[in-house]
Amino acid sequence: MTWTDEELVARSRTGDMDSFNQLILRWERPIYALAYRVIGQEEDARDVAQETFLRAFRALPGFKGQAKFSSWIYRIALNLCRDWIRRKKRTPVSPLPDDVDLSELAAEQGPTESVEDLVARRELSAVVEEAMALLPEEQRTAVILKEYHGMTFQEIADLQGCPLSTVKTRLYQGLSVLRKHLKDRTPPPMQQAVRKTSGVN
Amino acid sequence: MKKEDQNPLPRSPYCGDPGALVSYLYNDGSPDELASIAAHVQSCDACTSELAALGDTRELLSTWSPPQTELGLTLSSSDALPVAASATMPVPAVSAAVAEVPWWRQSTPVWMQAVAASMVFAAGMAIGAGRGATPASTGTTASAQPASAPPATAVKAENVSKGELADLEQRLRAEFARPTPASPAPVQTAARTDDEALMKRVRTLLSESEEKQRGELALRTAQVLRDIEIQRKVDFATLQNDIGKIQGVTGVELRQQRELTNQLINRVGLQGGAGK
Repeated sequence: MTWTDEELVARSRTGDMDSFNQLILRWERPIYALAYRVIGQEEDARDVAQETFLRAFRALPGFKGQAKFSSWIYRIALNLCRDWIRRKKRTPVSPLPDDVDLSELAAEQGPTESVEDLVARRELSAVVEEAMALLPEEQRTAVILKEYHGMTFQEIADLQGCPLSTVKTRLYQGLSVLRKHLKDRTPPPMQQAVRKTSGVN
Repeated sequence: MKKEDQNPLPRSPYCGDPGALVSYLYNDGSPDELASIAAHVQSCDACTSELAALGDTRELLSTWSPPQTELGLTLSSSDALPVAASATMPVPAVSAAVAEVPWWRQSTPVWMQAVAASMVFAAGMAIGAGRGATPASTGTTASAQPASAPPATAVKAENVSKGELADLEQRLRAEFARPTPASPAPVQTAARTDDEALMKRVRTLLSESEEKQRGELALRTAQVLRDIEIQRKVDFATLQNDIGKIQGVTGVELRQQRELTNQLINRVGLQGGAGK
């Protein structure tokens, strides 16, 4: 039987550790992805994800269900990411790989994707990562939440604690910077290879 | 140039508005608003072009994915415990959680219960022995004394109890000096229940761990197989590329040799013709 988030939260609040671990299993990947994209460090992103769930578990008695569990956990994760960035006092830039790691490629390869397309996508991913690191934190977070987590403008505004119009402006500005940077850095053939495999409309 | 510039229609408030463009781009807004923006975009080249460029950027963004690392994040009983839950349900013994529970609500350790029980037991034994010893030492004197003669009995009892008290003190000291006496039956039962629960939990954790390891093994095997397949494809592509290069080089050399031969033949022919 599949429990909803709310049911699992209710069971966790009575101390059911297994229920909370089910919530972790359900949300660890999105939270890790969010942390990785915001702070750009693999190990630290993992630590942030772990700390997010630990804090959430400790704060469960105070969670009255006034917001969705996902929104709540995202808020905790974003706060931790913000703390991390402040602590590190630096722009999160991920090291770009010099060559292609086959084991990573294997994990990423789609069933119908050729090796050439895969390599192109991998290189482009690195370029995108580099471009994202150029954005200010608020813009980057807005783009990440919208682009990769499919949140509505209102949800992002709630998470970032700003008006809805500000979210839209941040998104537009962020996309404009990315567009300029990516245009300079990605040759048309690489973009074509991406379009072949991309599912984004 | 905008299509709007070619007709007398008033400039739309959505034209060039970042909020409107982003709403339309992500299809996030009220139906009325989106319909109005769509109507404008259809008649505006600049906004259409801008949206197309932003759409291309989104396509590129879709290529960025975080590393596919094995996460396996779980909270164990050694992690924090919600305070509200501690009073209502059986929870695993956790060190971090104990710090959040007031000391008077914390459960007493088994060894402390055992020591306390043994002290009570020893005191009871000593008192019991003291009571039993009094009639024996007083002998018939005590029994012969009528109940209506309390002063004499009191004097006798006082004389006897001094020795008895010394004996009691020694016995108590001996009891306290023992390292950890065996727990009384109720404590043992409680401890056994705790042990059974603990063993059950350990067994559950072990089985979960085994299951997880099996899953990880299957995942690793799949990854290794994919590694091999990818390596094979890369090697094959490299080999094909190399063969192509070699063939290209060989073809060029052959053509050059053929041209050289033709030139030589032509020269020989010309020289032969001139000699004649």
